[in-house]
Amino acid sequence: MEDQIIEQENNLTPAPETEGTPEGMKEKDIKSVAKRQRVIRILVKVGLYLFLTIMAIIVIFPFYWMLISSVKTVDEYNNSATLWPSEFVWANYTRAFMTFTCRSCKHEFYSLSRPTVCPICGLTAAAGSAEQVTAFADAGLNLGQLFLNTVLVGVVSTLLSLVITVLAAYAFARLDFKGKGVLFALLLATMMIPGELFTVTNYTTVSNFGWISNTTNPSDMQKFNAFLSLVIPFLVSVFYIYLLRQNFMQIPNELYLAAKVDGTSDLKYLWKVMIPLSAPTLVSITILKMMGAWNSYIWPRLVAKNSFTLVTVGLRGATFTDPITEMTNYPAQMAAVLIVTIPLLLVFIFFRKYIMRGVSHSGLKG
Amino acid sequence: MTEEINGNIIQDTQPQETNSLRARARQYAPVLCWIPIVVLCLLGVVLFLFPIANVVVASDARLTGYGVFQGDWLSGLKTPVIVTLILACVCLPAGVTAAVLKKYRTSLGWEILAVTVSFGLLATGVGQAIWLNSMSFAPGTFSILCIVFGSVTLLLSGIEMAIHMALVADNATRALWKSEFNHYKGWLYLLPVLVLLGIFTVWPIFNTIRMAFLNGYKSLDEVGGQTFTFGIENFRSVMRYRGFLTCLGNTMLLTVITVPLSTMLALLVAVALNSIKPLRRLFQTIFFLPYVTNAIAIGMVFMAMFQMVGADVGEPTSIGIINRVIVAFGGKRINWVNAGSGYWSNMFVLIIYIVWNALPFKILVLLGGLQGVNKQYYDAAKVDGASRLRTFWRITVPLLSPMIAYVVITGFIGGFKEYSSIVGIFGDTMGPIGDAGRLNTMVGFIYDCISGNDQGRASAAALILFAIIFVVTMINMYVSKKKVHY
Repeated sequence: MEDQIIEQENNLTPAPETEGTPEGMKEKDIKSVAKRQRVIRILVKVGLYLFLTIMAIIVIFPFYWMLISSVKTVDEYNNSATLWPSEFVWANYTRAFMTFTCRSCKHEFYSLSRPTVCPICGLTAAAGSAEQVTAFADAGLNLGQLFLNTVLVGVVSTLLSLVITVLAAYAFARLDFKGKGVLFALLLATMMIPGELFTVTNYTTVSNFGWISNTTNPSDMQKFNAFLSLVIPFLVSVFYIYLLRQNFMQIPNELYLAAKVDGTSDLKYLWKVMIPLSAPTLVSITILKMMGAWNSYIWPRLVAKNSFTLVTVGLRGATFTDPITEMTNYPAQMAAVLIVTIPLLLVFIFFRKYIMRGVSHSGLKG
Repeated sequence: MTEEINGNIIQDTQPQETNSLRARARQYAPVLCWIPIVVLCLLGVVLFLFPIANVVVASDARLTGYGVFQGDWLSGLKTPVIVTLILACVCLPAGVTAAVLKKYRTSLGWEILAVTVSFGLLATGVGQAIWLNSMSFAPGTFSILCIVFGSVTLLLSGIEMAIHMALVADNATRALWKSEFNHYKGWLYLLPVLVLLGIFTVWPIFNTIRMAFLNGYKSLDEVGGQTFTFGIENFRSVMRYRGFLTCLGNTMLLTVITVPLSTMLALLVAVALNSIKPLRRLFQTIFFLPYVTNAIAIGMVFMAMFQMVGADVGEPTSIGIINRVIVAFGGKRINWVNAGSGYWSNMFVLIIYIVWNALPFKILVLLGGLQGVNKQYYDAAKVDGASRLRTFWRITVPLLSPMIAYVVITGFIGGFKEYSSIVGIFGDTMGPIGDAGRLNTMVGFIYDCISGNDQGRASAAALILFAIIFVVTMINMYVSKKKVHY
């Protein structure tokens, strides 16, 4: 709704210049004053654009640097600061996807498939055997698997939390029951408490449920439990309930009454009227929730660092040490960072309106 | 007169209906439903009335080693059992009370009792199953029995109610039932939210406070049967701990520096954005970019930009762009983030990164505020010949003050919870190589305590963090009440 306001006149339009002029001023003076004002105005404009451009460069430079570094050779990266790579090394990207650690010499190296022989110490393992898996473990950045895990957590938690949020927001917006006001106030009050206070107990609760097992080689059941520990504790977001309730409240009550007269059930009304009318808010919630799963680090590292690694945890955990020089391979690291960042940028490009809407609403809530 | 007529009608119609199928269904169907419901519910009540016996004895011989009666009742491992017991003990009396109360008004009483008992049974069974799962056991006979009983009685109650509604009840009763249902519908819609909030929000509030005030509390020790005395030892040990003071200092420093800095910058950018027209969209998009990115990932990019590997042992083997630029302008290389770097250079990088990260949200909010400002104020100022600076301080800032206050308050709250930007740059060792933990923050301290299974200390630290945030927010509110023009 606020979007339209953006298109208002810019407020630097000068007031008509002749009006404020003292009567005794001559034609020539008026002209020179007008000229001076025009010059000042142009200077201010130039200054504004200069300032904004510099700020924009500062804001955008890390992205550019990530992009450029990710295709450089290690030598070029380490020994110069070229703004354009002299040679494009696309292999950096495969390195982000398939890195393996040798069990005996602890070195990381990349290979297009799980290796059978270590290039450093010569450790061998038969292809397809169980020993091969233990001898050459994924070095923490099997990006494909991490993507899959994260998307799974994101999609399931988003769907469940949408259902829960819609039902709750509907109850608060349209239904009458005793204790509604008090309950809503209590819900809002919990928003003031920092999440860390909950985390301390939630970690205990989740481990009491048997959901935490930080083994490096988890069974399917352990993986599923870890998945639950990532999804269940964060299904309810009071803020989203609040946001959606506000949206539902804006839908005129007459629609509801009309539907009642027609004999429509509550659920059908919710499905046919409320949800379509508040689709933008639901899209905002979906995107913010998915981005939350993509970016979450602290809780996933705590409860499922190895058993169900999410993308950010895996990214931070991977060291990208070159097995020969024992130095961090920054271009490969930047390639991994770029691959993790790109989905976010794509979402931003396509859903900019919804993201900004969600954020600015959260900005208006105070 | 009228009574006679009514009487006649009833007398006339009744014989006809007794012959119809409908009337026969009226007589027998509810009874047929009720027999199994009553039997199952009675069995359920038997299970209910001895929930403690259930949990301990009837469940499983596999659990003998985990006797519920040992040690503290509220012990962590027994939480699901406690929840189950509370549910069981509350559901039954509540069901009976509701039944007795409702019986006289709506004739729905016994159905309510049956439904409540069914839910109680289900909850008991599920609780048991979760508890068993927590010890990597499959669900026991008892839990399965509870779940089956609960589902069957729930189903039968539903069928019974439907039959009653369709065949037996008169219109008045139907209307009454409907209104009764509408009365509870809101709670039904809220059920998932309430259950989840109860487990993951309400219970933690109480439990965190409890753990904070049990001296030296560790949940693993509690499971082992150890009991803890009540006291403030956790708070004392947290305050005495040198690492905590470092964390507190770092957090305070970062917050106090970054919040005003990012607010000022964001205000300048927002005002500049608001006073241009061409390219505004483009700039707006660019300035919003950092908001959608991953704090850890971009932190790693900042690390790469500032790094200078191997400077502590000799000639650096890899130099980042920032140091190259400094050298190009004739300056001296600085070891920003690597091994052997100084505290203040670390802090400098952190401040830049946090400000960079905090800008988009602030710009968005402030720009939204600016666009809501009535243009007449600026026209009036122009007519009065006010200078730009004066217009900015006397019109823009006061009119924007609610937004500024909001941005500052959320900035302070976010600042005190700073964690992931430091992880992004320095990794989860929270410091440059060789000096781990030097840049740790309050939140980092809490997570370290959780990882170390030191819940007492973690809770105490979380409460201290909450208190700090609360006090700072109150001060902010107080100041803004005096200064903000609404």
